[in-house]
Amino acid sequence: MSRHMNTGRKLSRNTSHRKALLRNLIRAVILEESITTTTPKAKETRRVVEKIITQARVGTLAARRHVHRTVRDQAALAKLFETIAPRFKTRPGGYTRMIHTSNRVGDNAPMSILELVEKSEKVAAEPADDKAAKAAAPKAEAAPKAEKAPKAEKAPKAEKAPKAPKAKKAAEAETK
Amino acid sequence: MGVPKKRMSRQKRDSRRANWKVTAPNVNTCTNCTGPVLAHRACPACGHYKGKEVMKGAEE
Repeated sequence: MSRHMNTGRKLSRNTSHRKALLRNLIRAVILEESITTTTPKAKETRRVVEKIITQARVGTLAARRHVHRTVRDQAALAKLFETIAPRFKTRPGGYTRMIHTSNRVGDNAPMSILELVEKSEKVAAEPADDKAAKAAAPKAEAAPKAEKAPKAEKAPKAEKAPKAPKAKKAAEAETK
Repeated sequence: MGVPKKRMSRQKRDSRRANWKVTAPNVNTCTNCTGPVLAHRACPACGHYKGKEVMKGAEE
């Protein structure tokens, strides 16, 4: 079958997986206002987010229920209608921006930052985190919050890896 | 389905492959840190794009 007129990417997922993924990404965009993901995922998310914000600008209960079909998270839905929609009141579309970044280390996947054009002051103050860059220079980070998060994650992982085989060996020695 | 009748000689095979060439990426200069940067991409070193800091770079 030809795929004439079929738009959208399948993202190597079945329908339910893809829908769930997009919902998660949409929720993240609304709550975080700026996310880093692969370029195809960002492009797919953008399609939906733009439409959702346009709906949110209408602001009626019907619009809210319509958007609720895709945005199931109450916190995200509230933020969308109460803070994001008024922000874009005068903007005729184009609420999001994509900035391409370096390809991902590991699988060379093209990565992008998907962000709202007008961000809240809190989010706008801190530039988007690039995880790859963070890993390269966690000490040089300016923001203390961003600095602590990756370290806390790394520390237990690094400890666990070498310990696990030792513990196994010890257990084996005992049985012998 | 069409199937090759004869094994292709090394010369024939390698002659074809002789035209497979890699091309160097077109590298620009970052306006912020003067480092190498690909077109339409945020600078991996300083995280700037179009004069604004869009992400945290590696050298910050």
